[in-house]
Amino acid sequence: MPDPDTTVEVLRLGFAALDRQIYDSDDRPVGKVDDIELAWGEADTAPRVSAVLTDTAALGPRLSGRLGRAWAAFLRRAGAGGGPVRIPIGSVVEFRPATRLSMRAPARVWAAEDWLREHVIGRIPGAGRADDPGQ
Amino acid sequence: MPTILVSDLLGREVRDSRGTALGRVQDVVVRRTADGGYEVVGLVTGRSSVAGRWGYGGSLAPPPLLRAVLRRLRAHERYLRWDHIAELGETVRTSVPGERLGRRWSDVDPA
Repeated sequence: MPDPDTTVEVLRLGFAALDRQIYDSDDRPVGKVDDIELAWGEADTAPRVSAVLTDTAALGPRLSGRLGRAWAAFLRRAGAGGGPVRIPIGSVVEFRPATRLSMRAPARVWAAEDWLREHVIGRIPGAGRADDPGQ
Repeated sequence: MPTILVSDLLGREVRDSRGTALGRVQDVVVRRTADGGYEVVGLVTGRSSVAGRWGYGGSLAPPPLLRAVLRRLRAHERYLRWDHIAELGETVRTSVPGERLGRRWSDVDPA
């Protein structure tokens, strides 16, 4: 029997969405849901979900002290320092069992990975053959 | 339009209308609306969120053997309707006594 507290009509964001996988409209894994933004309109009696925040920049507020500053510096260098990627709730098709989008993921989601591939992984001897099926 | 992050709400202390501690905010409950959006309808309060975050496989439902264990670990959780929040500061204060809070969402919002 389905749990009435976690069915689609009523769901717990921390359980159903936070830290769970996001897939874009091409079914590509985009990253994890790092935070969720709530907003109040003038006529609203309660807040509504307005956006999903993702990519590694959203981790910044969760890290404190030197580690948080070092992480922010790394992201600036990788070109992802403009804050987390904000995906409007209108682009979210569903939260369960994974967050699915009706749009292609913004390229900035992969900025840190692209920087690591170019500056670190790509310089390891033999890295260029990583995708060769015969190796 | 004022905004707040879910991560800012999680962990805030919760006290009832008599000042009794009810734990901390462990989760945010939303409901799908007719226009396809999600409206916040309440909070989950309790001592710990660990057991409330475990989900398994595509359905997020735990295996039957673990279900009973998780239910016991989550026995401290209480649901707080949004319209029962009197003050949303660093401490969340409710407008009702703690015993009015239900153990399941369906207890506090039968609709």
